[in-house]
Order: sequence, then C-alpha cells, then structure tokens
Amino acid sequence: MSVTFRRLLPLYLTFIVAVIIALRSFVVHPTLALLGTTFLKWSSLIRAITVGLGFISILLFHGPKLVSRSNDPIPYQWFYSGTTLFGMFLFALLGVGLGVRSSSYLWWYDVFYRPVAGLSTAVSGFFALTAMYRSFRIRSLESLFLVGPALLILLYDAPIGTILLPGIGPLADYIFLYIAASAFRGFIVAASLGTILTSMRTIIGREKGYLPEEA
Amino acid sequence: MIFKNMFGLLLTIVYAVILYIAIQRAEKGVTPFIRKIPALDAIEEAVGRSVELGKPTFFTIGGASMGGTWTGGTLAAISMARYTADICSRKGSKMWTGTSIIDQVPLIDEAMRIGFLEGGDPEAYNYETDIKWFPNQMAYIAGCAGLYARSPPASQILLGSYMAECLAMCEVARRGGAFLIGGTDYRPYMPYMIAICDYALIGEEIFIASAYVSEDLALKNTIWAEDIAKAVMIVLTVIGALSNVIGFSDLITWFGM
Repeated sequence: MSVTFRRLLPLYLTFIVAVIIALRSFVVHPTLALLGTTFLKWSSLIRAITVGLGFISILLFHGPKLVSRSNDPIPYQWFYSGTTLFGMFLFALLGVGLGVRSSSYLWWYDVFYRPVAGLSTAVSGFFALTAMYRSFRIRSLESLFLVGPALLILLYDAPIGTILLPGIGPLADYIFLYIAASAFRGFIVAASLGTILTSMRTIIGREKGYLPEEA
Repeated sequence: MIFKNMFGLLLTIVYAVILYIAIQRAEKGVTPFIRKIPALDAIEEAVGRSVELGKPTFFTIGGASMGGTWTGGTLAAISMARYTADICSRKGSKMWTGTSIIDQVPLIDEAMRIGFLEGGDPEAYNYETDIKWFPNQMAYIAGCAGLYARSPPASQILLGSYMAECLAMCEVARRGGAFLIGGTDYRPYMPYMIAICDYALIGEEIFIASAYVSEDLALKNTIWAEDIAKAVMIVLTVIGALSNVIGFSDLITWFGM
C-alpha cells in the first residue's frame, strides 16, 4: 500500500475531522452540527465493520485449533477454542435472529456469560485486596504519605474511630477538603493540559507513534 | 453563526499559539531543558532485566476506549509501546502487549511492528502471539494472572488509563516477581501505582513520555509548551482567586463563559 494511503491519508483525516469536531464546541452552525453528527455515525459504522472483521479473525484463529484438536499453546487449547466459537455463534445467532432483548438471549446470557464474568470479578477482588495490603506497607517516603492519611480516613469512616479518637473528624475533613482537594485540582489542571497538548500534537501530526513508518 | 464557550475558545487559541511557538523554537534548534524522569529512564533497565532472565517484557495498556475522554493517555501509552518494542528488538527481548479494548489492537499492532522494525529485528514480533487481548476489564486481570502462572514476564510496564483493574494487575505482576513501571492519568488509582510499582509516572508525566524519549526536537519543545500553558493556568487561577476575594465576581462569570 502506498505511503499516501498508509500515512498521509490518516494524518489529513485526523486533522480535518478533529478540527470540525472541536469547532462544534465553540461555534453553533447547522453545517458544523451536520458534519459532526455524520462523523460520529461513520465512527459507529467503522466499529460495526471491525466487529465483523473480529468475527472472521476469531473464526480463522480458533477454527483450525478446534479441528486439529490442538494443545498449543496450552493443554486442551482445542476445548477453549471450541467454547469460544460456540459462545460466539450462539450469541451472534440469538442476537441477530431474536434480538438482544429476547428472553432466549437473556437466558443464555444469564447462565453462560454472567457466572463466568462474576467469577473473574470475584477472583480479581482478592487480588485487589492483597494489593491494598501491599500498598499500605511503608516501603518508601511516598508510601508513608499514602498510608498516614489513608489510615486516618479509615479510622474516621469506621464507627469505632470517632469513639477512640474524638478529634479525628475535623482533621479528616481538613485533609479531604483542603490538602487532598487542592492536590487533586492541581493534578486535574495538569492532566487536562497534557491531554489538550497531546491531542493538538496528534491533530497536527506530531504524535505519530501509532502511524506506519516514515516515507 | 453563534459563538459559545468563548473563554474555552480563547484558551484553545492561546494553547495553539504556544504550540506553534514551540515548533518554531525547534526549527531554530532550541533544545529545552527537561528534568530526568526516572520511570522513563527505567524502561531500558526493565528490558535489560528481561534479557538477563530470558523472560518476556509485558507492556499493558489501560482499558480506556479510543475516542473518549482518556484517549490522550492511551495514545501516549501506544507511543511508549513502540519505543519499548524498539528497545526489546535491539536488546533481543521478547515483548508482549496486553489490552482489554479491541479498538486499540490495530494501533498496538502497528506500533509493535514499527518498533521491532526500527530496532532491527522485525521477525521477533508475531501478531498472533505477542498481542494479548482480553475481552473486558475483569478478564484482563484474570488473563494476566493466567499469563503469570504459565510463563511469568520479567518486567511489566503499565501505562494508560487504568481504572479498577489497576490494583489487581499490579498485584498479579508483583506476585509473579516482575519489575514494575506504572503510570496512569486516571487520578483515583495513581496513588496505588506510586505505592506498588518500582517506578511510577506521576501526574501528566505520561503525556510527555513520548516526547521525552523522542529524538524529535519539535516534540521535545512541546514539553516546554506544556509548561508555559501551565504557567498561564496558574496566573489565571491566582487572578480568579484574587478577584473572588475582592468581590469582583464578573471575572469568574466571564471565565465560565
């Protein structure tokens, strides 16, 4: 594919679309509104096409593994590939045929997908808890700054905290309202400026880590 | 034609002018002073560790979809994936990239492919095995846990907009004995990154990461532009606070237009 299509076209498209979408935030004009809405519709259309491509890609990747009863890269890979394909075809057929609000689709969703999703969330919850414990250990000066106020807030939120330390309320409020809030606002301003300038760099084609190689 | 959000428009124009001046400075050959950012310098160290241990480097990108509020952080992370792929290619380390957002996959593929090409070993990258995609946030954690159980990476770099998955992913990596570098632009999880990771990017450092590691003088000058923009913001904040103190509320109203 030529450099024009692979590199320059995405740059020009990014510039034109981003400028029009940005102008919509500042100028009220029917043409701009129409263009903006059209671009958003295109975006949805591209997403729909990528779903189709993803369907084919999954079929091409997992189909041969199922047919050849492959154990690569992990034992019983063919079984996992088969389950993936079964789930994909099942939900695609039910969703397209009966609709995503139909009782059949919802029943399969509840018995097939939801328990698996719930299980992975529950497992993740334990990881998060031990990570909390790890982050509450004082390894460095930064950890001390995290742990100190965090313990104070934990005590403040627990009923026993205010009984043990009656003066903790005003101190916790002070940390929340002044120290934490001001630090967070400073961060929000800095992060917003970072986002704006990263976006501007992307719009003018300077941020090009995601684009094909130079001509 | 009716204008709205006038003050926002004015600020956008001011930032665009600052960015233009920064690019002009680059064309004149001006190199801005940029302080050392240990977390970014440690990426070479992380890849070096992977090479020494003969294990992969795992680069995970935060779970924010493209086109939303957090696109900036995601784009910055993808640029850094390209930079890391370049180092891995030069040093001879295997690199995996993980994401839970399907929209990111083509961009990551392109970044990885080019990174390995620039590093001189394009054959070392395999799209089918080196991009790990997990269909949702919690599956991202479970998938990473499985990966660490089967073939633990030596180092993990977590960049982008991490939300609820942040804590658990750091924990999984830490249990797997990985060297951790983290950075997120999602405020509530930043303290955990700082507490758990060996090196962390703080605040907006994630946005300047690609410019920091780049040889492009224009990109480096955009860091200078960001500092000037910050100075403008500080001046406006002080003016706003003072005008509020003296009771001149019209200015605050105008700022909000």
